[in-house]
Amino acid sequence: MHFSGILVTAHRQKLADTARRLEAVEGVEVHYLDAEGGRIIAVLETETLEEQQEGLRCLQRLPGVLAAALAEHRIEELELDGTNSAEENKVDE
Amino acid sequence: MNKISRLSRRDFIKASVAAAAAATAGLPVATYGQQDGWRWDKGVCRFCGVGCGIRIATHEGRVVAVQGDRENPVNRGLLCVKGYANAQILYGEDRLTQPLMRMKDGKFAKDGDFVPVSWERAFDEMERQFKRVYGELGPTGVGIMGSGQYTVQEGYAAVKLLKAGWRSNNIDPNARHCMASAVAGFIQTFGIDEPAGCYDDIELTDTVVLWGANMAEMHPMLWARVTDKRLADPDYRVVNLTTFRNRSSDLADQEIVFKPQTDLAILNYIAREIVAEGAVDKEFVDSHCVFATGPYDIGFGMRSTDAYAFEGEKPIQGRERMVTLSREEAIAQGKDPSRTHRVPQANTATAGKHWLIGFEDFKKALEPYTLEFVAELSKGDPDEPLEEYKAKLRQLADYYANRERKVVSFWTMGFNQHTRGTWVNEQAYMVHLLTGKQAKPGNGAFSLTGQPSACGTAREVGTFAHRLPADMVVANPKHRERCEGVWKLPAKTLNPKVGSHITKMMRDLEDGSLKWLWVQVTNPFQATANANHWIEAAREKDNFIVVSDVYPTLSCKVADLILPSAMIFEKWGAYGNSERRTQVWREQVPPPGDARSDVWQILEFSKRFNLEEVWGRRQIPGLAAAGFEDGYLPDVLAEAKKLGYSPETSLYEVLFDTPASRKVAWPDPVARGHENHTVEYGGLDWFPEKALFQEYVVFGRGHAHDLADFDTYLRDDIRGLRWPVVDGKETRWRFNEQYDSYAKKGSGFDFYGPAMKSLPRGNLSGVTESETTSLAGRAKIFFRPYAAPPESPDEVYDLWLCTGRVIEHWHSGSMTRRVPQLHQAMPTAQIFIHPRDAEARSLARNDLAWIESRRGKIQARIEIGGRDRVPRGLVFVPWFDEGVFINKVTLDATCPISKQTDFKKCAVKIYKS
Repeated sequence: MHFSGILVTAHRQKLADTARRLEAVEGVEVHYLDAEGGRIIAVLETETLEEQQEGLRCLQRLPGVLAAALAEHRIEELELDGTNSAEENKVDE
Repeated sequence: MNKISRLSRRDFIKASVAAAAAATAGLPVATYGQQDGWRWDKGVCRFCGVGCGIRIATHEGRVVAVQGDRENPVNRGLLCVKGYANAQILYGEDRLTQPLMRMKDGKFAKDGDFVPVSWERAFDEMERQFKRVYGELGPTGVGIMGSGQYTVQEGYAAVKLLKAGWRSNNIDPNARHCMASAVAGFIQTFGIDEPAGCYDDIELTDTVVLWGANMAEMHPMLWARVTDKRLADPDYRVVNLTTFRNRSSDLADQEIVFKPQTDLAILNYIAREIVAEGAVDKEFVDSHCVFATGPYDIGFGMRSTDAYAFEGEKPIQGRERMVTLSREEAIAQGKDPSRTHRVPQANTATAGKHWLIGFEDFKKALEPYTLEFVAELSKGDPDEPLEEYKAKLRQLADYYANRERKVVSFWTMGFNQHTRGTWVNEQAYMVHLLTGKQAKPGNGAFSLTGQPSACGTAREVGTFAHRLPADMVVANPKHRERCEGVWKLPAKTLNPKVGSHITKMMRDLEDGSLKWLWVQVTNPFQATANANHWIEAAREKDNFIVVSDVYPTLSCKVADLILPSAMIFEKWGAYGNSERRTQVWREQVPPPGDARSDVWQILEFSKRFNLEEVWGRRQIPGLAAAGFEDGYLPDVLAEAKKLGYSPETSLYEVLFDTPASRKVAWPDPVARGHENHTVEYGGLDWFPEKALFQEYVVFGRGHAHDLADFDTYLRDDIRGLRWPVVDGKETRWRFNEQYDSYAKKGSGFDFYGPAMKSLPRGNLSGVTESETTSLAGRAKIFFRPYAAPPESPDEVYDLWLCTGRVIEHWHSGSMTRRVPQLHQAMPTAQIFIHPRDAEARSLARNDLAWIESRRGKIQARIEIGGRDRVPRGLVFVPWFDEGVFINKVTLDATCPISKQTDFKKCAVKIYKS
């Protein structure tokens, strides 16, 4: 699984709206709103890197979002959840 | 773990990811602390030339986490998709962990299969083969290919062994393919290598112009800084000059798609406008610059003979000797376009010579580059209306000419991989110097690099066929003397004849003039253009090829002996990035199996030579330097005796295990408990990576290349320092008196680089007065004309081919393709083609097609949409994929001055397979 910490810059006046729009995107959780700076910390959870990149692009296109940058990226094998398939961990020949 | 167990594992990860992201922005989000027993340390990213700071966590001998380093001013805690892969690249399943040699019946055999052998056995064969070739061909018969991925210490050890020990100059890095044109541009313009400015310019400027640099994909963290600034500042402008639409166009205010090679004409148009508009900063130019030009008839860096060419290659190869100017070239070079001009290429061997001209000559040379002429010549998208394109060029010229605007021009491979790469680099300086927008905060022409230590190692250490440390060159007797002094060598040990650059080493393998090759930290058999020649040369002849690597690359497959190397955090090292920032890291984890650092490999192999074997009288074909007997290096054994060496002394003792090295003791408190496997397996009580670094810094100090001490870089409060580091202070803008202590007081600006600073005078046709003038303190504004490339599309090969990278993969993909997520995102290279060009060839998306040139053909799948949108008439193929071996198709023509290959343009045809 890919966990991405994303720093979103948004219009200050529309911060709450923007946060709601972010939450509506699959795999996104909003963790922090900085009303003064117009910044939002969101975490995006995806299965593949492609989805992560698509997710990031999707956030960048949301109304109210001025910028969305990847600030932290962690790949974790969540065995208890059974989310990591053997396929994903296979190394290219 | 108590605190963690109350949360689910998933929640814990999310919370810590959010905390890390928040911390990047300086926001207070509760943190959950680090996991028990993890050891964190600072490091630098393994991949591109940006030099992002990372933090690495290790646990039980494995790297378990990587973070962007918030303290590092380069990336301020952010990382691109490759950055986090620094951990995963160590752990691909096919890591090489033991030496492998081609064997049959228990003996080395060129046609044998790879068999695991001990290091002892591997070195035995390597030595036997070396001595066979050295006996037959002498120092020019052996060579090393390195790269800008060498750590500073690895590059330094390799140069010393080859140049001082074996008295050969055949060492050249993959960086030759990456930034040799930038180097030649710097040396010819400023007399010293590397950029004047730094990344701070991104925030300080108000105009960013990209010239053949898809920064959004290739230098993502610099792009993040450009993006931030662009979004925050409504007056900030970004222009993307490119031969096809790429991701950098998404943010750019203006995208200019031009025809390959015509950047030469566009820059002259801009210069012409600057002069015509009266926008020349006369005070700056009069006080700090001179005007210069050189010959136009310099060929294309191909072989001078077609004896080795395939039949189909011969017409293109012939242009190395004779060029018929196109109509546009005739105009651009001030000749009558109604006549036919057949121009013998008389200056292929003297392509770099140049002379002073007056401003009036300069102005006259620019005359043909009108907006009409340049727009028609350079418009790259046939579907774009000419008037729209013209408006863009006018706007671009205005950004440079406008005194109120600051401008930074960035470039990478689009400029450098160019048969006129040196020229086009010089033209970038031309427009910046004319307008006085150089070496000032927010103003400057800035060459970026693609490899993590292309600057720090390849260039600064000098792992090139012509270089020595700190911008010194083998052809200069004073430089050799200085090196011989520092290295404690007898006079005339160093070979004054420039060695073979990386493409020439391939040609040497083909024609039998080089037969023993050691490849370190690179993948040249995938990376060199026109590869069918070199693969055959490596396998068919009596060459012996050693490849040290971490994964079985294509180069490993053509090798005779494969040596397993340690990767970045499995060894101590130092890198220098594009803004002159040197960063040092500690060994974090042990290498797997029998893998060993390249420093260990070089030191161990040096033990197998004594002075008698290498320092006798040696034949060097073509050597004719002052003070040397024609064709020979002298016997220096008698002189060596005076220095206390005997004929039996080993190269290891003379070059590495020196009294000075032994004073740099291991263990060392700076290690803070980190290991050093080079010490452990070498049985040393000294610290080789620190000793090599401390010996190396001597060369640069006092010569405007000053580095700090090894330990300084490992301090907790330091995230690298930009050289020259004088009195503990780094330098942000060189040549600028306010910032650079080397710039003479009262000068304002002092372009103090010493190389090529005495020139004869002449006019646009050549030298008129042979007496030379000193240009101390001045930079050169070159006139360089538009010249057509050696091969352009025609009726048969009707498309331009451009090659390059994609964000997920770095270099030949040997590391990134082993990271499943990166591999899945971009598993194979495709042919990016315009929908109408595809349709005309009855090709649909995902169809398998042949792409064929005069040199070879390969198959790949068609991509019509996607991230890179090419104009009609041009196709783009990334080169990371060894299954889509595009370098079998590319042309090995180079800039005749820099010897850097043009991977950006050749002619191909595409058809359904």
